[in-house]
Amino acid sequence: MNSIKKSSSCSPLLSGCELSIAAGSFSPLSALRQSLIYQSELLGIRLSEQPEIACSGLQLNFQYSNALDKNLSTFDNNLNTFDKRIQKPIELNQKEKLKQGISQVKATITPWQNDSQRIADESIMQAACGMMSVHGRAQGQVQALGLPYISTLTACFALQGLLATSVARLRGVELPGFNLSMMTAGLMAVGQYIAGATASEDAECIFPSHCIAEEQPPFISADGVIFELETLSPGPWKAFWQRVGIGGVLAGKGWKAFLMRYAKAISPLPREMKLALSKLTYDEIKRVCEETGVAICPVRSLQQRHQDTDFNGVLQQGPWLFNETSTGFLPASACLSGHHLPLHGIVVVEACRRIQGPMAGHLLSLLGAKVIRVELPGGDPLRGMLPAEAGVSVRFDALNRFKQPVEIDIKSADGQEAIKSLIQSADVFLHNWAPGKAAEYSLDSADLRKINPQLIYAYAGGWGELDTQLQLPGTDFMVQAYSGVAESVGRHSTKPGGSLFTVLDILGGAVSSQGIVAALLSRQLSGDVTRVDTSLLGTASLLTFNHNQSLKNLLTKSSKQNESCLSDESELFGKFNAIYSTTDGELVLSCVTEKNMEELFELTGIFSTTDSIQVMHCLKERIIKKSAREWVNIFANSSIAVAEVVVDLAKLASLPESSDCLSSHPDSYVRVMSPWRMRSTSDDE
Amino acid sequence: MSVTINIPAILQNLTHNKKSIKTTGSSIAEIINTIEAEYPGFRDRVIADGKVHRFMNIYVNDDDIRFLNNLDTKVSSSDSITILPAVAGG
Repeated sequence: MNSIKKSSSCSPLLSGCELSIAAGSFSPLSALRQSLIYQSELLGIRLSEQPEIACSGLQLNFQYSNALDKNLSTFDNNLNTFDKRIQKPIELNQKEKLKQGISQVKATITPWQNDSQRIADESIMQAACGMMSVHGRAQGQVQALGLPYISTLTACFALQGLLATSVARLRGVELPGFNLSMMTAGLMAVGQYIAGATASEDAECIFPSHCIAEEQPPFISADGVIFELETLSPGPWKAFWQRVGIGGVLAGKGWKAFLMRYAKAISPLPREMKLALSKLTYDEIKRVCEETGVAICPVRSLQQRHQDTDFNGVLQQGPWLFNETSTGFLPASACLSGHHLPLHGIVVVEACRRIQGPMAGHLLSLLGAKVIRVELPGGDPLRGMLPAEAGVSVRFDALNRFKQPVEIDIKSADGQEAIKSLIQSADVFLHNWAPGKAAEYSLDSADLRKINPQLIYAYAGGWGELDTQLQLPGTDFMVQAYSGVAESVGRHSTKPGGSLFTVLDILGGAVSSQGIVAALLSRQLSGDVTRVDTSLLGTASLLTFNHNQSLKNLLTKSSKQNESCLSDESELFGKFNAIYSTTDGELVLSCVTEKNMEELFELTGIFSTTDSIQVMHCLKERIIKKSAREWVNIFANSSIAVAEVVVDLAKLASLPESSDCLSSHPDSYVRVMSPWRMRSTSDDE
Repeated sequence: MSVTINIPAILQNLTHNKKSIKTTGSSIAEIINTIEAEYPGFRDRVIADGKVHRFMNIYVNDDDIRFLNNLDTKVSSSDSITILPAVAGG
């Protein structure tokens, strides 16, 4: 086999592929569109914009024919081309078949699942899918995340769907495309919390108004430094608090609350703990951390992150690091016609724990891949996390329900052989072990390529290239603090610091599966196999892409221009965007363009004025007089984006906006359905 | 002394699907040894290297025993003892 190592920076993975985007004439989805363009460009996909269309969303056309033509002509000149897995030459008629297949994939992206005309923006979707409620738990009130989270996730899903459908085409499945909504993407992000809130026994009822913001992390030192602490073991935690004067029983109560962050998005620490740290300087606390083995990270700004030496590289490379190796042959068509999910026939071996890696595996399973999940002997302990149904944690099930578990002790020689045995017939191996562990187990990419040269090797880590440099645990809240995400979230929230909703784990899982699907398409188009490294830190850069662009502009503009730059950034969420009280709950309203203003005044009965503060005051007075649902109906056919703020996640299954995206059965928790609604050949719109 | 211990779903295959067990012992270590005698294999899932397994938490009432006296933590018949899997990291 001729193996040629390629650098990802000189040859973007999907060069030769093309994406055309047609935006709705009244679409306010600029953050989604921008993220889609940014992600596509990073992958080397050529972009074109089409004339506006009459809908509230985006229409996408993806083509891979040029990439395929280029590679097929290369292979035509190579008489030794063969598919190693089936041990026979690629036949000419197969090449013709690849060329003849329709090489265009279509997708329609709308804000809402069941209403293609209704408009929305980021904040509207965060309100309607329950994300404001989950993020609001640690804020003591419903709260927008302040970042284009659902837009970024939807863009990631859109691109992933296009690439996966292209893989299907090249493997002989004639899928024309799919529909995707921001609503399903948002629900997917909070799927574990929905599971917890709807379990048939011991369902969690956690409402923001019942939580106290002051009890939650982050911490603030006597000299005003906001910081996060992290440890995955109770020993260092106990020693740390003992050193700052907090006894065992109180530290134990704090530990229980601290562990709650990942599952419930709250962490009600005993007040004495934050108080104890508020009397010490940051340097003093840092010293105690060093001596007790607790990790500490200040909440840094995006500006600080920009000054890191690795940052420009991350921005240019995107959230994935691809390392391609040419195998010298194209994979064969799998003759899979008749199947309706794009990754049918693809086998993934997932050796991941917690959230990020399992989320990646879950998305691949929703796209049709067979996912074999490697768990510890006795099963993943998280299976037992309450609430549970039929003996399995609903939160665990929400991310792992379509996988086939296999119990393997990866630390033993027998276990390592068992994994190698699984790898022989797999397409993808995905893990999230601590840095250095894969090499220690002899299960690194070079080890596994010897067994299966066509294997896509994927690692979903914490810090990416900084893994060995930072010496910090690569967990969601540490990466939020380091990356500037926490500071950015805090600026839009009631308290400083990041979200206790696992912002980066969820998006990081989507980024990892997106990278894997891109590598599968690259393998199908060029015969190259790719190692895919993704990280929470790279994911943070993707999430703050809009802010990063604004900051980049700041560096080249005068201070006066800088102000206008930042105000552009704040308009991400539309005019008069706020949470308004109604007679029975809260409502989010967003006036997207100046043209909408008159309509807003007319429908609310406010006299036209240019004084924004007065308008907001009048809106608050008017909106509190009717119910949230009444206002949704009043604005239904207008150009004003509006949504009821969903506080109780258990209500989502019965609301018209979200029920179509959820699978609800008596005596079982509510499951979020696949975000990709594949079109059949006879139903292509 | 008789005490009741709540068993997580993940260990219920070892306890004949019982969600809670009435057993005897004056400390956590004694209680786990008593359970082990009746349900072999239980101890190794809860204790490793003489300490509470890193993937498990044992609570007496609301308190994690690692922050009390570990396996030597004393219990009385009025105490509620719960084993729960540990959740940490992303």
